[in-house]
Amino acid sequence: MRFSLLRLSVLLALGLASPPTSAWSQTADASQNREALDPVVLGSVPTASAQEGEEKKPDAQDGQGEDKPKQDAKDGEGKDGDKEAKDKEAKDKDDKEAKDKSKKDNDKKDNDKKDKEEEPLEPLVLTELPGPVLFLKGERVIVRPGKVLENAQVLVRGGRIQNVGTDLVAPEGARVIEGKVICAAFLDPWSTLGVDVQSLRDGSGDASLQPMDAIDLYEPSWRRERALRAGVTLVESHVAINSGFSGTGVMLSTNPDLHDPEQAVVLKRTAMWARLERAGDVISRIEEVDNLVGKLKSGEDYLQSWSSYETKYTEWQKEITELQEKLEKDFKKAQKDREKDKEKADKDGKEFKEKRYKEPKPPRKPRFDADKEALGHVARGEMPLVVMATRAAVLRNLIEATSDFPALRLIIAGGDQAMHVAPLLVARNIPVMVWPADPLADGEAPVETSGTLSLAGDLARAGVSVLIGSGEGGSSDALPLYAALAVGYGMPEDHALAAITTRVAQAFDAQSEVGQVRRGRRAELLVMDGDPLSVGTQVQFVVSGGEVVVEPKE
Amino acid sequence: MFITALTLTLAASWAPAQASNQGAYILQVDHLHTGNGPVLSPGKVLVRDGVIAEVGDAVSAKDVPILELHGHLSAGMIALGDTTILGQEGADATRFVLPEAESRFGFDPHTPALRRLCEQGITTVVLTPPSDALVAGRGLVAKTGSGRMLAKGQAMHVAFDAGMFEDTPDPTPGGMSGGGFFQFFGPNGSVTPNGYKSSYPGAARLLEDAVQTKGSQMSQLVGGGIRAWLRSDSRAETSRALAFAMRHKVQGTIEAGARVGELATQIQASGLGVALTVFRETNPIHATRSAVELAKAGVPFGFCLEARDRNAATLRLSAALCRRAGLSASNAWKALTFGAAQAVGLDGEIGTIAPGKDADFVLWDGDPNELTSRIERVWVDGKQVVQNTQTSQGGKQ
Repeated sequence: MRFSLLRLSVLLALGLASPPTSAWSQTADASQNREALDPVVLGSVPTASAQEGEEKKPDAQDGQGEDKPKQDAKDGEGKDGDKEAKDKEAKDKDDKEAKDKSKKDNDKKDNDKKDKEEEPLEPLVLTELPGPVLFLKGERVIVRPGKVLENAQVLVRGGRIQNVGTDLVAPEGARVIEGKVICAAFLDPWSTLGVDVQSLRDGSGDASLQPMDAIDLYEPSWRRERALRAGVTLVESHVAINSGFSGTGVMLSTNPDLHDPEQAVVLKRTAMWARLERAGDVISRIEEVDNLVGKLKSGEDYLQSWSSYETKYTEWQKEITELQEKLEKDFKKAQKDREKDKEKADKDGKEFKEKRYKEPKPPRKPRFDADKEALGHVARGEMPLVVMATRAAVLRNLIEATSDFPALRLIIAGGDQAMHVAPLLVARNIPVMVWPADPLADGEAPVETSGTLSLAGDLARAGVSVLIGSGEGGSSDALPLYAALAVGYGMPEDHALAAITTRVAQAFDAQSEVGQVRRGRRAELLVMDGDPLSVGTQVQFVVSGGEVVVEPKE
Repeated sequence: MFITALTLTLAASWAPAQASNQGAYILQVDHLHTGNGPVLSPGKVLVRDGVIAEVGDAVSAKDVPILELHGHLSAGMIALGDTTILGQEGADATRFVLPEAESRFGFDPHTPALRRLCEQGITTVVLTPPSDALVAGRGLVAKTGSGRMLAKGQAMHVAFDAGMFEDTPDPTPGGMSGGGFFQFFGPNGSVTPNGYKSSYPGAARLLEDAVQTKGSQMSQLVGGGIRAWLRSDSRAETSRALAFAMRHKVQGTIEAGARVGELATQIQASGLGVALTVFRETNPIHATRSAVELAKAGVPFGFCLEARDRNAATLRLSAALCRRAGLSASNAWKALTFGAAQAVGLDGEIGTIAPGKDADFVLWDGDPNELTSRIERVWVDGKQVVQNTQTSQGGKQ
């Protein structure tokens, strides 16, 4: 399946088939239609997404460092070939990762194992990169929740974490920053920051929607600035939240100095968002789930029809080529035959008829449909589907109805009554995104069940993977406080911290980029004077994109 | 039955309606946060008839059972300025000036919102009438665990915010809602079709008339005869409220918006307390900075909470946000307890663990200042009303 898709993209690139033109293909980085299908497309990140830090070697692309987005805009077309090859590599890798993923997801053991493999820390050779060189020293470095290095150092160079260890020496010229605790910056998996308000509340969105055009980085900057100061450097935002399908989301930097979406958006595709329970009565709510499943199916069929088209197209092409070869081979003989026939016709006084050349018809191309294409990729598990739903009955219906899509990666957002289906969530490995408050709650969903972080504690204890977001009612800058509150409701501390760091990265396929203090990751780091979830802790320094963007207040 | 009994008691004698069937007992805990004083480790508190009788590290009494518990014991928290719990039953939108109204008549002590507050360690809540009237009558203070109303807590609600001009219906037949002219009902109940304009000067004039009418309810505000709750939002409104209070030597609480901190020294001089709302649509940074300013100036303040719209934990989140803005841990805790009690004139009854005060306690599994700490038990008036069953699992390792 994947192979044929790739072939299709090659065909597209060669111009043998006209590229689809729709919202889906018009990604902000319009030079590559298929690039949007990469799980991770990090704006200011030089190398192919899926690469692990260890494997990274200084190559031509690395040298571009932070200037990448600008250059992209300049010579977008020229690099296509290059990218194509890289994409292919990345995709092959993704395939492997995707297969492993389900096993890996919440398996701590596997993670530990992985860590051990990576333990011998050898510095990356990235000395030629531009950007500041930062040397962070912390009494405690929280590599990821549950793994702490005492008296450790983090070396940041060229926007990336170059090395983490306990015996590192500051390179000459590096800015040295000391602090008590160093940890990965917080990620808000569910935010409303940075997008145009009208677009946010839109109720007429569909699966192919992408928020790039709705990004409004000139809104009052204090929201993003406060989030940044609180240590939330990246947020997931999407639009049309009142629609059945809201399209895909983006991951956005909260740095208020970034006014260019190309720079501020660090991940162009996080997940597809959908919303259930827009209907008022039970029957309509069942219909909504049926609709959602039907749409996923249509998307799957759509991609299937494209790949079968492409198979047929290849066959047809082969046939044509063979025919042509045959014609060329028999050309002289055919010429002679023709002349003979012509002479004969002249002699007989008959009209000479040219031999008709018959060619097999090309297969019929399916009609392009951006929504179905997007849904197809979701059905195939190439990106997660976040479904906002709260009622136990709806959740059960959804989980059972989507069991025909084994590759589908479902995430529940809201999930007020998710405790009733906790065993199902555990069995299907479905994470739940919990938010602090639901301002839209009507009489049917009273505050006591919705909007409490006690749900986070309950679900975590039941074995469900929990993410904590600010949602549609909270604010991103309070994210660490929400996580702290969840601990107060019985969520294990490591899980709560993971709910705003590693698990978020994992959910959006960005675990190789953000969420941990590990080599090769994007440098999104916090230097604090205490425990990350303690109320009295002040975030002293915030490093985002490899630069110090928040300094202590004097 | 319950309401009737309570209101009768309150109306007849204003005697504190303590639950008298509670026996005496001693609570012994690892850490006892007295609130305005030291942290006793370990600490003991003797409770008799729902009231704290003695606090110390060596409290003992004859034939009194000792309950030994692990964790941190603190006073119950206090939420100010809730306009949601009373709901529509507490509202009267037809009259613009209604000083005789008393919210306790519309109060349902069994509303689930109270229970939710209680589970979050909030033992006392200050309720304000939900109407947008200029003078909305007397609010009330209730215990969340029992619904008991505190006799001293009935402040007169006076609005200084622009909201009062918007939602008041035009009482003239066929009149447009929010039209240019209003008929006001006079301070002593009679209709005064005086045609004050829907502007602040008109309202201010009306208020002045009301407080200067001898023998009226409103006139008791002068000199602090009854406490006032002065509702304001913008800085201009707050300074008007402040000027009104200074002019008539009014005692009570200013419910204020984000920029109240800029008036901290004047408020300190007036002797008023402040009810602060941190979570609003507007930038909370001003509100949190205001908290720091108020604490610096020595103004007693607490946080507002809309319990029906917001999760009760919002109260602790408010304090946490203020700490980020630089409020000290002790001042943040004060705003949740003793400061809030002071702000509404109930510092003799609630807010700390001290002899003579109501036995409102919260037992935590960690420092009460941390959001990560879990609430394990809650007592109101000496009676244990909440026990968290999942105490031993999860939380901190």
